[in-house]
Amino acid sequence: MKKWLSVLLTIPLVFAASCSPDEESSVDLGDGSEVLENYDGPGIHEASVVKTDKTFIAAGESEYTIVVPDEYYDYEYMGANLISDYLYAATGCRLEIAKESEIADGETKIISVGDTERLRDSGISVAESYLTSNGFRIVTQGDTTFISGARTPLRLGTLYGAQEFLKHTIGWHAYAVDEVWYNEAVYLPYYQMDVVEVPDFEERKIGWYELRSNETYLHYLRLNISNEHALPFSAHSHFEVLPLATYANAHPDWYYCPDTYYPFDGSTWSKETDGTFSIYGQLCISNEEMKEEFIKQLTNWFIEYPDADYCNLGIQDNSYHCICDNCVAKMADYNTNYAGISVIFTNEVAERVQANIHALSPMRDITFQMMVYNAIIPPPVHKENEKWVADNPAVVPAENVAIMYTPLGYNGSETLDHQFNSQYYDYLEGWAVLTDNLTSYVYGMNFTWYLYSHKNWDIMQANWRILAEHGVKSAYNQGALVDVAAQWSPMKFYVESQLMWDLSLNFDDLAYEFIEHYYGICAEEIRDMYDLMTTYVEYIHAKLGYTGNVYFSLNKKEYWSFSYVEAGRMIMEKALAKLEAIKESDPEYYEKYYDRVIRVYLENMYMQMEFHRSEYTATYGNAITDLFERTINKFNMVYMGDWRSSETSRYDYHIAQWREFYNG
Amino acid sequence: MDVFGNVSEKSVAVDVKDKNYPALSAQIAGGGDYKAGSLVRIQPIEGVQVSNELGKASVSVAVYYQDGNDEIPVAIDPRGDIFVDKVGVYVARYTVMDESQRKTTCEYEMNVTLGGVVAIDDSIPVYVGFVSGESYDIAELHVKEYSSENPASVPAEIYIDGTKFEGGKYVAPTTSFGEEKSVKIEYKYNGGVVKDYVVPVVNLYREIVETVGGFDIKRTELNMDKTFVLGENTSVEVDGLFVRLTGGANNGATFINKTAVKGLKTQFIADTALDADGNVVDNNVAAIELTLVDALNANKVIKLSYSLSNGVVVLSVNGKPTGKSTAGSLDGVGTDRILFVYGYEDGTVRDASGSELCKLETYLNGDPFDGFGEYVYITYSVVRKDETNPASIRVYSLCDQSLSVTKSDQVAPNIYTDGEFVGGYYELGSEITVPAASSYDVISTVKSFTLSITYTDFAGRESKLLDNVDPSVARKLKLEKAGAYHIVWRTEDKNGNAIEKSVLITAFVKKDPIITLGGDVPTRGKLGEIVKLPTYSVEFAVEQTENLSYIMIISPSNRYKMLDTAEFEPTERGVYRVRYFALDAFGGNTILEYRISCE
Repeated sequence: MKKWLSVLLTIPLVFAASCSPDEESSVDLGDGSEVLENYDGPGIHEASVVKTDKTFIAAGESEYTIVVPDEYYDYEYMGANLISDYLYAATGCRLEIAKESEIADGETKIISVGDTERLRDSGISVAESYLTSNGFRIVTQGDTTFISGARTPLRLGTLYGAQEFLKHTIGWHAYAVDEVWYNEAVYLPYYQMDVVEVPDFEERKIGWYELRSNETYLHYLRLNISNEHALPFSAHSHFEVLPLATYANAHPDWYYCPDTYYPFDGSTWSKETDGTFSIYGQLCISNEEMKEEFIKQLTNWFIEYPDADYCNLGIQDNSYHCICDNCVAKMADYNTNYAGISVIFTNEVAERVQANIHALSPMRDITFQMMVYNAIIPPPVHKENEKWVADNPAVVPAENVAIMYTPLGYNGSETLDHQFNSQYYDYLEGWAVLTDNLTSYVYGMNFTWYLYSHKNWDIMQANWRILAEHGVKSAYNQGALVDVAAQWSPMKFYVESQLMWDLSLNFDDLAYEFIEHYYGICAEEIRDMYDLMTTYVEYIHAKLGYTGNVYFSLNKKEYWSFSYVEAGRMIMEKALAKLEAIKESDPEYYEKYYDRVIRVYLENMYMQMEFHRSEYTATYGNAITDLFERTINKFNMVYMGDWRSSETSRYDYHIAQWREFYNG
Repeated sequence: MDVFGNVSEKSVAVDVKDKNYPALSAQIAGGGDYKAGSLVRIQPIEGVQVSNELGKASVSVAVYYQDGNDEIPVAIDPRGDIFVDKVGVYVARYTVMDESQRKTTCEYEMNVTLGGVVAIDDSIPVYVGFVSGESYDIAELHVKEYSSENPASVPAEIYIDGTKFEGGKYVAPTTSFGEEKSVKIEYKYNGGVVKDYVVPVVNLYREIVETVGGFDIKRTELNMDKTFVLGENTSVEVDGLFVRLTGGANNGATFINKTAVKGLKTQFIADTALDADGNVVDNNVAAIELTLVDALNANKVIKLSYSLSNGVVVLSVNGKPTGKSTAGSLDGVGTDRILFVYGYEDGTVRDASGSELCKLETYLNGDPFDGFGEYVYITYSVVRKDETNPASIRVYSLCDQSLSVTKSDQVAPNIYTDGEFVGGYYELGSEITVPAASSYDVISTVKSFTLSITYTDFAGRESKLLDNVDPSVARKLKLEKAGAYHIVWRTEDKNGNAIEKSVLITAFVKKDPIITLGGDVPTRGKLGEIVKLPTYSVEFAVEQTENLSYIMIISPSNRYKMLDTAEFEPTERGVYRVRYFALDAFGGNTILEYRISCE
């Protein structure tokens, strides 16, 4: 899609990276011109913002009113409110929000937010086919500026449009839920705007605890709330549709579990309460009786959730699939693999559940997402004349079936096109041959070691592009779902959310921009810390074999040399000294930035004590141990990773070890 | 008077003396004849009669032995005694000075002659008690008979309960439970008693089951050298990681081995009492008392009491509440140990975290507290709530040495340095102080204690700077060469248990490395064509194997790649960033970054 931006503003925008006026993709930096990358993603990022002679706000007064539809949607009103609140904060002028019917017909000085009658009369297209569900337009016609997303059930695009309007008006930009920048102004001109934003990924989700638990944070970063318009299923939902507790005893043949883990004799289904079966079991998808009940129950779910138009159908979280005679025979009949017959199963479920729902609500279209994961990630394709082709026409996903590509076993430290990931790259290509309705579920951290900075700053941008180029429409990156985790998380949330919206942006540029705006007077040191980390990790990556999947062990002294740890320590001490110097004179500032800065120090503190404590004195060691303990307690960090069965998985175990070392 | 008529007065009295005012004078009575080998009490300074002083007069005294024309100073002990061991004249000279700085002296003489006095010429042994049936070394005591001017120092004869002791091990008599027995030790010379002791003999109640207050109390033999002197109805039992002291009365148990004051700390806890079902019941402990007695001065006693108040353990010193609480538990349900730490340098009682609880101000007898000597005895005792039932405490360690169930002494001595010794990284040229150190063993005795310092350069070459020297004095160490200095103290007890304490000092030059490029970094590159980068050199502060340097590139799509050679082939349109990086072993680092547009 074409990307251009034409801006003539009197106030500087914070988001300088978007401000290039040059369609030739080069910029004069004083010592010659630099060639810009000019990446063109699937979305649309076009903006023409021209200052007019008219006044929008002056000396706390404005003739404009924010108008919402009489029957507004939540996100439409939220967008109107955002505009009103931030214009007030920036200028002292509070624009009133009115329903459309409250405004005189001839009134034109309006900021129209959402699907107003005036928008419908304006001729401005906000079709979903054009904007998708999260995109938006901002169009100025005379004295009226229209802001609206597509007419989807949520109208989320309108909220994002409101943010964009503020961006072009007062330089509004959110870096985190607690770090929003905007310019204060006594006078604001009225701008002629023609803006179209369609994100490169229609939906964008990041599954980290800090984000999931804070909807404002998600909205600020234009990230979607999980299951907001979908059935409330987890990723592994098969057993949520047909719970073991309800069906397993009566219908043991609906389920499969390897004998190694669970005797398939039907007599011990009650054991599922101990979780054993949940861990190792799967549905037997060739069982017709099971399928009928599955369709019935899934239909009931949609009846129970009348606003849902999406559901995720995911196999259980293990690496098995059913190997009963029927399933094996079915694979043979279709000359395909288990993913192939899983598609056939899902296609039929989708067709019949959709039919059931259409019978009740003819306009209600549903998308069924099939998670291709572990045993069923190999696509049902084979090569003919060096090209991937479907094993059988029946294994092509139906139009209303999305395929969620979930490469759990891939090397999360390398790009998908790296040789280490060639198998998963082939899987992606195979699925892309079968459907253009792809979504993706990738992993953004190391699940064994939450504290460490997962090495993906150097692959994330490329990986999202690879996925987008293969037709992936929605992006999900999973982190620590129930814990506050790695130290750079706020930066990664920001960077990744921006990349998911606009793939032409650059990871490091975004990281630096975030650091500049988030760490106050310590920004220089935090940037040094980031550069040191990214530079050093490339060395251990290239020379010491630092690479692997999302369970790869990072906790090795050989990786984290004393010299590296000491270099980081010196940087962080400098940062903390800066803050300490203003602690008394500006306690509010200190309070705001201390937690952010100290969080960056966590990994380094851990490395000091875990690997190099013999290098430090007892006084220092005890002090840094205390600081580490205070910090993890502040962030409620308890476990080092997903493994929680031993005492060594807890931070307090390591803290006790360090203290024992110093104090006996 | 001020302008308002207010009047005030100030007067100064001047005492005018006649220039012929009489001279300052002083007199002292004293002197006489004494025998060599005696302690002679000199006249107190208050006995000096002073006349004609201007203002107050101060008096000091010194004693000299007159050796021909020389006067040799003689030490006066705090009680005012001198030991006269030479024949001749001793002079006690009193110097008087008034506020006008006028001085005068007065003196008397003591004539010392030989008279066959027998005097102790040795440090005096201390006997706190013997354990029933145990073997002991009996200390020698040397004496001199002043029948000649330079008498020889000879050992006194030792008599125990009237029988001459011929040396070797002394086996204490056996006693039974509740039996009061003592041993009389006499040091004799020529039939006369020079020094004598009455030493109590106590029974450790080995494997005796006694019923006290309706409860069976098992008494178990303690491990070698770990001995407690027990109060009546108190038993000792070794139980895994600790020693359990169970009292059927409020008296306690004294750890009989002298305990070093340096590093003095002890961990203990009120015992957890359980009922038949394993539920915690009231453990009958009202308080745990620690009594510290100076090993050389029985008047120097401190009594600390840890009692429960409103759910927290509070500390009293010498019966007076300090208002301070400490971690630990007396209620029988907690597992936190009470850690008593004595700060010998400043006389403070500290808690487990090292925080000061209080400063010791007086001894138990009310005398001002001025510290302990080198050793103390520690007594543990339990104060019970219900005196018809026993209660017990668990003692985990004393001076970091576990009183655990080892059938022989397997615990190495401890090493203490004066204050924390700061290891780590120092700039080249620094001068550090290796502190004085000491080693103690509360279970047995220290056989050897040494200090060694080894220097290792960054090429791994070692050289000894000090080898097995006396660690008891502080030493300056100038870090003249970059590298590692391993400072190692080693101590070993008589049973062969050894331990080392080491501190690693690294001397380094604190300076970020300097990267010098062999030319300009190009600003442009073409896709598919090799971009040559300039080579580089790095000036590190110290050349060593841990130093690291390399070149890496970051592509327009933010892919990172370390380069093995100074060139790369751009495959993406846009700006490549090139980083030159150098990192030394101490964290000094430099990053140089350049941008190359490629299309």
